[in-house]
Amino acid sequence: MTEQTHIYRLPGHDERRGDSFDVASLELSAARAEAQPSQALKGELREVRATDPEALIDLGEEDTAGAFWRQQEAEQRLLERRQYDAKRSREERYAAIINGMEDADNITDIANTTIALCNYRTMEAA
Amino acid sequence: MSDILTNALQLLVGDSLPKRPLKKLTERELIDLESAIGRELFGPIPTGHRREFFCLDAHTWIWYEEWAEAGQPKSSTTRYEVRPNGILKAQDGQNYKFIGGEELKNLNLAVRLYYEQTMREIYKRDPYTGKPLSHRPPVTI
Repeated sequence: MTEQTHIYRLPGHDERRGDSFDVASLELSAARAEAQPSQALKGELREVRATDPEALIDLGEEDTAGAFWRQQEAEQRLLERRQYDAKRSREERYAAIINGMEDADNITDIANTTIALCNYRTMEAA
Repeated sequence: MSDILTNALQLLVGDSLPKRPLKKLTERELIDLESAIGRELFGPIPTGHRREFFCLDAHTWIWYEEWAEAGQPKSSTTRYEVRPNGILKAQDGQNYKFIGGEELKNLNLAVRLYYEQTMREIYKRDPYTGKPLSHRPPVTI
């Protein structure tokens, strides 16, 4: 069975900009089309935005076709991110955590050593 | 009288009285001394190159390299800024980026070696305790 895609038009649709979306997207976000995103979703979207500066995320401050479409993109990115995280092996995740901890230790070491050195230098200088 | 007291005190505590032999040097001059150690930390300097590696202040490390290419003088300055959230690296005033992984580990190693050697050779202090180094020979039984 082939999946059929229906193209719907949003109010204020501009053909030249290609503002359209398929039926699956519509079903996914029908509940949110006119409402603001839930607090939980906002939190998740902010998390995506924090880790992916290029993510185009709208938190529902404006109710336009553009905002709706950007939200679809954000949800898609969130979904892809979840799928990616699920695929990563436990070892990979542990390695990432350990590398992060090592980096943090190195940063602390450098900061402390630099301050100690400058203190002695200041103490000894004229 | 004071000579007797000084001698008596030296007999009691040896040469470990706090001294400040570098008192007359400015911070800039101390940085020059430190850089003489810093430039040697990364192995031999190629002929015709000049290298400086030093701690500029409590938040900044500088790596400066100067050489000639086809008779034209070239130079490169790498600046490492110590920030609470990471070490920011800028080459020739641009391409700012936070370093991590192997590069961060290597910088930490260089900083530690620099600290240990300058503490011993310039400030005459134990790098771990910060106490002045004693010139007395170790006690033997």
